[in-house]
Amino acid sequence: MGRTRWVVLGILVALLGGGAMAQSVNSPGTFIKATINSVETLDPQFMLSSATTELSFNVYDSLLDHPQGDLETLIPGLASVVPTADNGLIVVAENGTTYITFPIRTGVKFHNGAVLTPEDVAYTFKRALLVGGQASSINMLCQNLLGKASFSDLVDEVGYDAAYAQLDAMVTVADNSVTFKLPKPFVPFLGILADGGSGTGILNKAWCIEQGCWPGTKETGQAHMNKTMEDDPLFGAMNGTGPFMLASWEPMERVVLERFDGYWQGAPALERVIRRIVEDTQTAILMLKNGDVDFTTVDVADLPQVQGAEGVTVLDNLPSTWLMKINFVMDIAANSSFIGNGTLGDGGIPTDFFSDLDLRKAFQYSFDWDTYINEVFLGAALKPYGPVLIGFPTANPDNPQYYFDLTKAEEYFRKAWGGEVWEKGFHFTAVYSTGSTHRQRALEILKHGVESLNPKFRIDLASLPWAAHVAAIQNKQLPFSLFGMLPDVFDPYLPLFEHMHSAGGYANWSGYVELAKREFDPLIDELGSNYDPDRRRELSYELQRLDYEYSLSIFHFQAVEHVAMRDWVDGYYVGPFPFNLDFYALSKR
Amino acid sequence: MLFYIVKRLLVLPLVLFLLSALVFSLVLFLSPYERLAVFIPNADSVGSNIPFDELVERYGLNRPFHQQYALWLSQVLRGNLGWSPSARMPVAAAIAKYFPATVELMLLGAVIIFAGGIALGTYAATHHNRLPDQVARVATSFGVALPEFVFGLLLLVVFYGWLKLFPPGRLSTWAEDVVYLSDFHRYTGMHLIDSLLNGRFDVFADALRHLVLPSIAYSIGMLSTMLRMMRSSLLETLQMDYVTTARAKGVTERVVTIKHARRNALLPVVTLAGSIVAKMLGGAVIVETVFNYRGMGKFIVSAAQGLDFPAILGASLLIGLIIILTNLVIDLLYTVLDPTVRLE
Repeated sequence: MGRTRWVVLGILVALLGGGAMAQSVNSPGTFIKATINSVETLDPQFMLSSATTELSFNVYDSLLDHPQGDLETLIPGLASVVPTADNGLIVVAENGTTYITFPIRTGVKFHNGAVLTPEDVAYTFKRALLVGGQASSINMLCQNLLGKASFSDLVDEVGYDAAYAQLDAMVTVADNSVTFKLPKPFVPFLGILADGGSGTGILNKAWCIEQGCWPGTKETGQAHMNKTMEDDPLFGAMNGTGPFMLASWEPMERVVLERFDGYWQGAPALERVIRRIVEDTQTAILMLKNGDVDFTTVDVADLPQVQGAEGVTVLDNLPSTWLMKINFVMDIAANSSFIGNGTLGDGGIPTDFFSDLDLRKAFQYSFDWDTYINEVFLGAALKPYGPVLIGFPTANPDNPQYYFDLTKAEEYFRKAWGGEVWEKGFHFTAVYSTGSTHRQRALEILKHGVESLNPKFRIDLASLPWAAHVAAIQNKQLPFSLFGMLPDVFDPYLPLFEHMHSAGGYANWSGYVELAKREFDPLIDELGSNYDPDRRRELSYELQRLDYEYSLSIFHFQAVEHVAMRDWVDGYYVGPFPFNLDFYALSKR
Repeated sequence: MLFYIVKRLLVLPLVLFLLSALVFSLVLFLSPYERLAVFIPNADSVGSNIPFDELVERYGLNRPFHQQYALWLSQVLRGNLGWSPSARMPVAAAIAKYFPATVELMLLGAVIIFAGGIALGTYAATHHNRLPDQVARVATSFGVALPEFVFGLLLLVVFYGWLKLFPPGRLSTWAEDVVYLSDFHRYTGMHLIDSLLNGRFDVFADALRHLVLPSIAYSIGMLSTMLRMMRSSLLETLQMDYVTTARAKGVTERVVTIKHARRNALLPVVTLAGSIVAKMLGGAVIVETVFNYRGMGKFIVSAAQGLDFPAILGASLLIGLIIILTNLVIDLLYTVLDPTVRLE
């Protein structure tokens, strides 16, 4: 019995002593970030979430870059010079074909010791398009380099041989330079190539082939098209030129990066970075206060827990590039189960219900932004100007705005569908994704505003699991789709294209492709091809005004972020994604 | 008994087959496009790099039920449960990773529940209507009523936030480096056992320290139920004639309770234990979330939310297997506790 007591005592000492020892340990060289966002893949060309691109941002480099916190200026990255018309590296032919040449920096090493060559750059972009890379920058490039949403679309249209010839001609190598051939000028092109290693991070060709990627030849291309996540050889591997290299990835648990001493801009201060998944925000806050993590994001409701906490610095209300909107679907699928009997009246709505402009405006004036932002975000969110996000170049604060006004709402409801809406009423179901509080509350507030005007107006609410919600959006089942934009390139073209162009996602999902072709496409195409900043501003302002005129969506909020970190963290700066960190700039005192 | 065991095990494949067919058929209530939605990994994405029509063809999602089921079953029989997009790994690998974590939590929790429940229930019954019994009754009411997440957060705030004793997660950062980045061999996936097999008692202590709070939070409700069951069962047994006879023969109260009464009182407790074990092995999503301890609970819930059907099917098979085996063990335990019980 005495021996048992000593064993138990020993275990207790080990447990509690381990606890005491852990409190005194503080690794100055290891930075630990707690995040709720897990990594879906390590392949930069397939990274979708902004949180995941934080990884590729720190492991890979792109051809161009931005100075810290300044997203309007371009600086050389793996290219040694920023191409301009003045330095002759951007040449626009008479037919509009644009050649952009990037001299490649010499002496840059990959993490496996290989040296960067122009062939690596060419391979990176060809591979991205051939395998169907999903990163938003890749999608933009595909649209503007090949003229199609994907390489497989091009293959479907012209056959594999012709499509591959186009792919091959898209980027060529000569004299330590890489030249891109664009069918027409595309102004955001340089900005896309300055994503800091996110979607356009440069891969090492030889290493990729060793992993089982496309060997880079025409004969082998078809076998590597349209890879799914589980088939992607780069799903679990990384080899870049960035300041950190991958040490390990335990999916859904943590990613560990280690310092790359051979980084071409000098080794980073931090030795290790650990990106740890902590799915409960309360737990993450406790870990931050105890010093077991160095950085985490904080919801607005949790700010009081960290503000004033010892050893913790809080930065709140940081603008981010996440914008949410309630999109009117103007041609709902006939088999939708959310439109009742499909006819206007107390039993349902017709499939083209939201094609009426007066009706859309009536809904705009029925939405109470102040209540929404104050209740859901405790005041910590922004009312957007329109499709160009606040903080983006050419965002127009003087753009006409909708605002909460039930008198105006009633005026437009009485006009809608020649007066039939007011007389007959309507009844449909609005859907949000399960667990999404901000979507749910947005619809509740809209429902309240609308139903207060006329007892014949009825909106039911329902939820779908996220995956089913997205499928329903894709199939035009929903009268509203609550979806937003998260542009990761700092140019107004991208959000305007996505929101208003006939080839952008929303025109198709929301049923205004013909309207877009007629009214918006020419302006957006010119915005994408005209380098004159004044003309670009004019075009952007006009498109923002047109969005207001046609009332395509209710822009109900643009997010702000709040972050908290330990006092010993140095070097954090605010970027467009405040929760994404530039680990190269960070150190711990 | 051996024949009985063999007979029960022979039924196992049939039960699993029927279970899988049932779950698979439920999956087919969703359209092929809805089932593809798992390829949209997060809220920022609205599509796949591959057109949905092509994915439907590639995965055979528009084929008749029997063809889809046969294809899936043929893969399962080869040990391939498919790929889990929500876990970012093959389903079999995900189960191999998360099930040991849940087993570890269950083992420590089971010690608390069974040892604590039986011992405290016995004590309460033998002190019927006196202070220990009254305290036990009040405490178990709280234990059953208190939500896991509330209790878990309280434990975390007090023992980690204030006292800095028991951190969340499965291991500390340094221990994770040992387990994942060194030549540490992971034999079972359970850090407690693997650390001992690797001779790393520091990792053992760290893993145990991380298990303390989640296993307490997880167990409190079931401990309360077990205690009450033991108490009421023993109280009933202590009123039996053979117990009175034993006392009359001069047997000490301790021997009467432990040797004569408790053994028979354990029968309903064993039944309860079986359902508790099966429930625990399915994971505890709330405790896992609060303590950042990823196990089967989070895996299954993530799979369900993401419509990750390979993972849902794989987890269903595992849970079905656990329940069948647990019930078999419970039935065998009956014969040990009560020799008059015959297995048929």
